[in-house]
Amino acid sequence: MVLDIRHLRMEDPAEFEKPEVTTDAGEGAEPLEEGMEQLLQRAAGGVTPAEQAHAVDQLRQIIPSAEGIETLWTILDAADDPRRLIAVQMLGFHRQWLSSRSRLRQAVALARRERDPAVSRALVWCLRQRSEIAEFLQHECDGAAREAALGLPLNRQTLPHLLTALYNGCRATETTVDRLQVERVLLGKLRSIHPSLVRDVVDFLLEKGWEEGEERLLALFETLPQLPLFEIFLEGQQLPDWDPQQDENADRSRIWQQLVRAARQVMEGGPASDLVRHLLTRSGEDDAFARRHARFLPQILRQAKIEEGGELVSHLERLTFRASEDKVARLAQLLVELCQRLDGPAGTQAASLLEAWKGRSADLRLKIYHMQQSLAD
Amino acid sequence: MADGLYALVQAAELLALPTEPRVESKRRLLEEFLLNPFLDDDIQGLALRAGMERTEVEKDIADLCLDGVLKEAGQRGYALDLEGRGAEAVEVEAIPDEREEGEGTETEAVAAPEGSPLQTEELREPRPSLGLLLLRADGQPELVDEQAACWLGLPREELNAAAFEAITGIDPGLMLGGAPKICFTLQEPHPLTVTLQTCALGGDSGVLITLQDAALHVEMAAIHAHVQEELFTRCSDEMVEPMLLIQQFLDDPDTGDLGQARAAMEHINGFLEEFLLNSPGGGGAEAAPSDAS
Repeated sequence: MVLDIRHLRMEDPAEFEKPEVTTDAGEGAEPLEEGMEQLLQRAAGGVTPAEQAHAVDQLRQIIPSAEGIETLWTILDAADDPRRLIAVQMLGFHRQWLSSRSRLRQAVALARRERDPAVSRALVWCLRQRSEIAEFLQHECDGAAREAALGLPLNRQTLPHLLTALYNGCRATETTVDRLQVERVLLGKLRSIHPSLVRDVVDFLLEKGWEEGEERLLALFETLPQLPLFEIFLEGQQLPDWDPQQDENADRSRIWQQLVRAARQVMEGGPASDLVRHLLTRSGEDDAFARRHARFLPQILRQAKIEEGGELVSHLERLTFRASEDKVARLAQLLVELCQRLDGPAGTQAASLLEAWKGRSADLRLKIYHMQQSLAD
Repeated sequence: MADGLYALVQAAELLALPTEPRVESKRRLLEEFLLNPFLDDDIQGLALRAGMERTEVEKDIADLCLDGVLKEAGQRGYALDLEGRGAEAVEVEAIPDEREEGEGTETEAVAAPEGSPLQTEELREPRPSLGLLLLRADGQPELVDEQAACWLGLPREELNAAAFEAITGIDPGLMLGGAPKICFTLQEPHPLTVTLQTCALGGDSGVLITLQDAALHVEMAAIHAHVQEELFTRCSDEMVEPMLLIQQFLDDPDTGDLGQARAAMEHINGFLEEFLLNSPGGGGAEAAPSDAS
C-alpha cells in the first residue's frame, strides 16, 4: 500500500510556508516586541520572576543573527556587564557559533579563565556534547565540573579524562557534595559505555593502577557491560601484545590480578542477563569452554535474577532443539542448578524441560538423575 | 453503629491520601531551571542531572507543568512558565503594606520584592504546608520562613543553627561535613517532617531545612488506632457472650435451649454484617449503605 500524495504536489507551493521564525535583526515574519539587548536586560534584571521568565522565553524563541551572536560575545567579554550570565546562557541555547573553530576555541579559553562560578558553569554548559568539555571535569569550580560531567560525550577521546576525574575524585581528601554528584554522573555515564571501550578502561587501570580500595573499584566495574569484562578478564581475549601470566612487570601483574578479582566479584554478585545467556550458549557449543568455567558457571547461575528464570529456561530449550546428547548433558548440569532456585511457573517449566531431556535416551536419563541426586545430597 | 462505620470509611479515605507530595524532588528540578532558565534537557537528561529515576522525573515534570510552573518547549525540553505568577506574589506582598499605609502602595510593592526572597515565595506558595529555613555555613540564618518559625515555636530573628539543634537535637552543621540528606519526624512543638540538605549559597555552602506539616499523618494514625480499638471492643461485647451460649448448647444439646442458641447466632451474624465481615451472600453488603446513610 502506498500513500497517495499526488494532490499535495499539485497544490500551490505558496501554501506550504516555512514556519515563522523570529530573528533579532527583525528579518523574520513577525518582528520582535523589543530588541535582543532589551530582552537581555529584562531577563537579567527584571522586577519580577514572571517578567524575567517572559524575557527568557522570548530569548529562547528568537534565532540570533551573526550580529546578534557577536553582541552576545561582546557582552560576555565585558567583565562588569550584569547581563553576562544571561548572554552566555543564551549562547549555550543558540549554538550555531559552534561551527566556527575560532569561536569554539574562544569559548574554551574563556571557560578556563572565568572567575565567576555561575558564568563559568554556563560556559561549560555551552560546550555540552563536545569532546572539548572533558578538560573541565576537574575544574576548580564544582558547578562547572558538574556541567562537564553532565555534558560529556563518552568516546575514546574523552574516556581517559573521565577515568582520571574518577580516579582523582577517589583520591581527594575532602569530597564535597558537588564532587560526589560529579562522581555519580560519571558512573551513570559509564553505564551506557560502548562495549568496545571497556578495553580502554582496562588499559587505563593497568597503567595507572588502583590504590583507592576495592569498594570504589567494584563501583566502577558495576557500571561496565559484563560481557566484555568476562571476555577480557576470564577469557583473556583482546590482549594481543601482552600475556598477564608472563609479564615481568610485577606491579602490572598485581594490578591485573586485582582487576580480575574485582571483575569476577561483580559478575558473580549480580550477573547481567546477556552474560548468563552468552555463558549458556557457549557452554552448550564448546565443551572446553564449559570445562574451563566449570566452577564459575554454577556460581553465576546461583546469582542470576530469579525473575528472568523463565526466559533462561526458554533459552536453554532453544539451545537444545535437535542438539547432540553431549550438548544436552552439559546444559543439563546448568539447568539442574537453576532448577533449585526456581519455583512457580518457571520452576514447572524447568522441571518439564528436564523430564523431556530425560526422555531422549536412557543414558541421558541416568546422567540427569545423578546430577539431581548429587545436588540433593 | 453508623458512627463506627463512618469512622472506618473516613480512616480508609484518609489512608488513601497521598503521603509523599514529592516537594523535595520537584524543588531540585526547579532549582536547575532557576539556575539556568535556558536549560534544554529532555527527561533523561533531567533525571541524570537531578540524580533521580526517569519515571520519577516524568511524574514531577508533569505535576510542575500542571501547576503552571513549567511548560513544554517542543524539541528543546521544558521552560519556566511564570506567567501571571509575579502578579499573585505582588498581591501577597501588598497586603501588609495596605494595612500599614493604606492606598497607593501597590507600586511600591511592585518594586520591593526582588531576587531570591520572591523566588522562595514562588516556590513555597503552591505548598502552604511547607516551611523553609536556609542557614549559612556559620549557622546564621539567610532566610527564615514565617511558617517555619511558627512551627518551631521561635521568633524568626532567634532561629539559627543553635536554636534548631536545641529544638530538634540535630546539628545542621553536620550537613556541611558532607553528610547525605537527613530526614526525620518531629512531634513537638508541632508534628513535622524535617529534611536537611546542603545547598549552594552564593559561592559558599549552606543548609536548606524543609519543614513539612505532619499533623495530618498524626491525625490519620490516631483515627486508625481508634477504629481498631472500637472494633476490638465491639468484638468482645457482641461476640463473646453469644459464643458462650452456643457453646453451652453444643456441649449438651439435650438440656440446652435451641432458641437461645439460634438467637445468639443471629446476634453474631448481625454484628458481622454491620462491619461487612460476613460472606457476600449474607446480605451484609446490601445492608451497609442504608446503615451508613
